[in-house]
Amino acid sequence: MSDKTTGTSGATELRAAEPGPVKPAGRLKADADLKQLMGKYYNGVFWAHRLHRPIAWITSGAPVEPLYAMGITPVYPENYGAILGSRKCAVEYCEIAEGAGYSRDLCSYARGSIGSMMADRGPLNGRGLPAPDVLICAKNICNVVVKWWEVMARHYNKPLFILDTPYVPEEPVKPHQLEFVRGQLEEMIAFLEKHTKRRLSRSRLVRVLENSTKTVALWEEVQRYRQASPSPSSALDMFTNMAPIVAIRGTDACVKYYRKLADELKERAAHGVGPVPNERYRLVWDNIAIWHNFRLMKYFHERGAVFVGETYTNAWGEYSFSPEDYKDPIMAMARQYSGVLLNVGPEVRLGRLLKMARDYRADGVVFHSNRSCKTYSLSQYFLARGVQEQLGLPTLFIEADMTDPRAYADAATKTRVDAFLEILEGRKEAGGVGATAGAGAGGRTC
Amino acid sequence: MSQDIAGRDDRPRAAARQEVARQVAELAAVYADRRAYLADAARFKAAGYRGTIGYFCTYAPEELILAAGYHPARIVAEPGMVGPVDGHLQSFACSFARGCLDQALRGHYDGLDGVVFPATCDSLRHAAEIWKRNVPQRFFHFMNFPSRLDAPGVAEYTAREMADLAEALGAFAGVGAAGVLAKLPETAALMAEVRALLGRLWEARLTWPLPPLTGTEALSVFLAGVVMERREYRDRLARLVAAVEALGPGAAGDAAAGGAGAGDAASVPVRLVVTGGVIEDPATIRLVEESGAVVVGDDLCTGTRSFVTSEAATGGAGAVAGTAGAGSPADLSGLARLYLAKVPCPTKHPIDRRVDSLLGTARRGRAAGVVFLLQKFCETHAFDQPYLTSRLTEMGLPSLVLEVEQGRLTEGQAGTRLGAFLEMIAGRREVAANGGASR
Repeated sequence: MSDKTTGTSGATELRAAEPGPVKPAGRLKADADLKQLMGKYYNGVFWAHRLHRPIAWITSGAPVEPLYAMGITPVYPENYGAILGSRKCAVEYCEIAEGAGYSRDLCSYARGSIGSMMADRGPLNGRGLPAPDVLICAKNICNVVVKWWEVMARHYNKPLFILDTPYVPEEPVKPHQLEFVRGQLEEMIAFLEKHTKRRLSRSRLVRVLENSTKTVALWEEVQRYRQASPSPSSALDMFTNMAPIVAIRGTDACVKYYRKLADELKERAAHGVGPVPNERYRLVWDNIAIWHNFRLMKYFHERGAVFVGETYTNAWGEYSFSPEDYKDPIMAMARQYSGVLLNVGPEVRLGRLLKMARDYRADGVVFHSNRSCKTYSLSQYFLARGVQEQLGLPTLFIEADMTDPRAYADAATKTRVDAFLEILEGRKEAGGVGATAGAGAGGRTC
Repeated sequence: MSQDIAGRDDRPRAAARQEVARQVAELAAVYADRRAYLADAARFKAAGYRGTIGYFCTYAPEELILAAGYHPARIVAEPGMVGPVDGHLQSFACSFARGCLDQALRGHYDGLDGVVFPATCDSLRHAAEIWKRNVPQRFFHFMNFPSRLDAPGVAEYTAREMADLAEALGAFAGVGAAGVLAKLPETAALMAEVRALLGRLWEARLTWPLPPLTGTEALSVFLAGVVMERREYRDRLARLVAAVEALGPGAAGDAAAGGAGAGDAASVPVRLVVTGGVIEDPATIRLVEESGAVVVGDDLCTGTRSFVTSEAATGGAGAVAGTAGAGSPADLSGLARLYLAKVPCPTKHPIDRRVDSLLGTARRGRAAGVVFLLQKFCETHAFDQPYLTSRLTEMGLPSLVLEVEQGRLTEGQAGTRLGAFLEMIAGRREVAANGGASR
């Protein structure tokens, strides 16, 4: 699989050609559309059964395209976990799961969604997510989802399909491994047809894959505008704006939305508008957001620091297909879904991170050491050393959890952020610049 | 004359039991001094090995390592504080992965020629990548192993991953994949013998009225076998099995007379089954048994899951005869089927065979309770535990969850909780003996 980190053309030149005054940016205009779009998606989820549409609970890394092609409504418990986090009610639901015996050391997305499921209670309409008709889980993002999905399938006594993807330390995926995944994808389609009584039309599948590809191209365009200074958007914007590419990738509405978002960021970049008017430090974020504490992002902003790239949002640029792929869409899906960020070796991950830091002219990299997500976090010390040694950039570790605030110490974190920004300032004053400065500039870890 | 509580002469039994204990102690000593044993290169050279290759987990095919001419040594953590691993893996990584890596970073495994990691969980996958970059060894192989045991083509896929391992080992050994595969029938037969012998011991522990070994002893016997030269181990194991079978199954009334886990004549040990991941320290099981129990069966990576098929564990295919019932594989296809047939660990899907195996073990062992020994931060075991607990409850079995960190139970707290657990079981027995009168 090719490296899908965004390219370098476009935004920088655009900004250079029209260097207007730096203006403070408010919320994105597209946010209103986003709210409406995701509201509509969740309405569709809650109405699905009344409209006789089957519901599949699916992992974020699983191939969703066949579901959209078959008129099955996909529901994302991970996205729901993030909602519990951002609405600051994750602890309430995690505690229900903990009371049922699920260790507090387990993934908080899982605990939150299991708690909501057990209590049939939640923040969206007072109840939990509507029950699934089937459950689909791909192991390509972690082993945890396999166990989590087993729990949910048992709770509802509904059929569960697991897509087992081999670990891919180095690309490309071996042919026999691709065949193994392909065989399962064919079985997955038969499973969906059997349990939902719907047929998969090949032409509809190709149409959905085309939409996925258009979405990914637009997502990459959106990301590319962030190469401008000041960056037209921050991690705050991107973490919320990734919801459609996760949940409704493959639909016309998703393509339409990202066209609008890309246009807005293009305009912002052209006029030098960004969330941090006095942008001084450009940063890259590794790992899932700290959904319960977006104030921390604002703390960075207030000190002139903006996140111009995130490995997490960037990873959603991995699900694109080429016209050649449409001849054998099942094999194409096998290839794409095996090589996702969390299923590849640390060198591949490091390569993608370094490219991102270079392309976005980062001054430093912040690693969210996420207690909930082992598979994302456990290579970070290696990645940090790579960033320091190969780009000479300072790195910062923030100890937290994506939705559970009990594993986060705000004051201590802010002290570390202050120290990190002081290092960045020292480098600025000494004439050091960002990732384009090259290696050996004395990276440090806070 | 020495008599048991039934008034019978128990001297021959006590003597036979002493012989069993002596043999077990010898094996336990090998494991306790494993670093010295593995460092003795002359021993392995004399036995015809090219060197030693470490491996993780029950899914690493020892047969292939042996067939390449290397001694397979299982990697285990040593209880205690960790140090250098803190620079590589966060504290919330599984304590077993951290412990093993820490040993390696301290140089404890520098004597190995290489290491084989099969795919199991997220934490060990990351540990493998760190090992690869930081532990100076000449051979490293990560072997994909399916998580989904019922996927279409899973046996062919597993065999192909094993073929990649055979090729890598063959290249390293200088004999090629063909050289490895030529030796496979012989090494597979050796391992089948070892597993069959272990199966007989485990079967005796589980089904005899008087278990011939304590759980502590059984774990020591098992652990010696992942360190020792396998032919030597097979021979020692055969002698131990003979001694155990000379001891005989005993009768329920013998329980206090020279049997494993026997306390004083007034106390008959409570039969327990333990379930969890890697338990690398026999002292962990000793702590469970010291409270007045005997561990008659297990569902551990360092035990049943290494050598018992799930069919056997549930009581099908006759006894828990290890994998012997499956025959000795002559090729990779047979080897793949053998490994896929084992009692699954929690990283595997579907869970049914795992549940049936645990319940079958508890039922066949007439266990009065089950103790979960959960490695701190082991996600897959922690996810399964509430469900397993509910299934055990349905069959009327109480269970207790204890956490193991850096290879050890938190002694004081664990002892107190175990004591309360056994008291609760005693209370249930009393109620049952009184005709089920309610409290």
